Amino acid sequence: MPWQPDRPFRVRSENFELSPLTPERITDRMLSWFEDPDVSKFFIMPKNMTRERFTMFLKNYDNKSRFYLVINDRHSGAAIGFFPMYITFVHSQVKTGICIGEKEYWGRGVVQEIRAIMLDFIFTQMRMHKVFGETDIRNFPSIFNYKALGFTSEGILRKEQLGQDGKWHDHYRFAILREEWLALRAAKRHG
Amino acid sequence: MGDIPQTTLDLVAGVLNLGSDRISAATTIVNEPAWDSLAHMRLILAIEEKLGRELEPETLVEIMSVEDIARILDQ
Repeated sequence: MPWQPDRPFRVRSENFELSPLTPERITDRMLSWFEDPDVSKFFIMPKNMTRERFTMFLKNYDNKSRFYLVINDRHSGAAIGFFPMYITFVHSQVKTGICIGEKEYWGRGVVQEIRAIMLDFIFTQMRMHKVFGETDIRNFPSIFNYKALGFTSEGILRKEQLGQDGKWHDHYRFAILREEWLALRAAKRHG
Repeated sequence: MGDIPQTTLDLVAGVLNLGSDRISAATTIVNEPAWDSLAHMRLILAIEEKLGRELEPETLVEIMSVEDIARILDQ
């Protein structure tokens, strides 16, 4: 079914499902991700996050132009991470992020599988023009995941984010256009 | 593509836990399954350790192939 604004949606890949996170789906395990320095090193999360504070945080996401999706393993049902999305309709652009809180899923192609299925959804169902994201210049796995999926580095954002170390960090901005993604998909199908 | 120094092939092979004969100038992040996100992190750290300095962001973001790595190490 084609996507329509303010209509709930679920996106499924071979192994994962993404859907809007609602307060009743918050788990203690998710809250533990906020306290894990490995997880929160580059995906800045407030410390001492409680269920109540996270519920208030989710009120910033209206599921019309701002989405906070939870990523679930389709086989176990377990939540493994988050995928925030921010749509700017006038420019047909979507900013996305991803955080895999369950470290056993690191290094297994999970981010690429999830980001690929979301690009399919954003470009073919939402029919957006451009998807972009940002990452710390020292977040090497994240840089790899963007480049391996065909994103282009559009530049460096200077002193963009305050890190856990209290210092300002530079970020890369990566982006991919609709025509680029569709061409990559077509090439993969025929390759 | 030019010849890749054996030291570069050995560095990449070592990080990817492959035989040097599996690595060539044509090896890229797209065509080598062992070159995943965590391997990429280990590769960059290995390059920086070999050079004794952090890579400039403009250089680091361009690494996609063994050729790219050879070019950096040759500088």
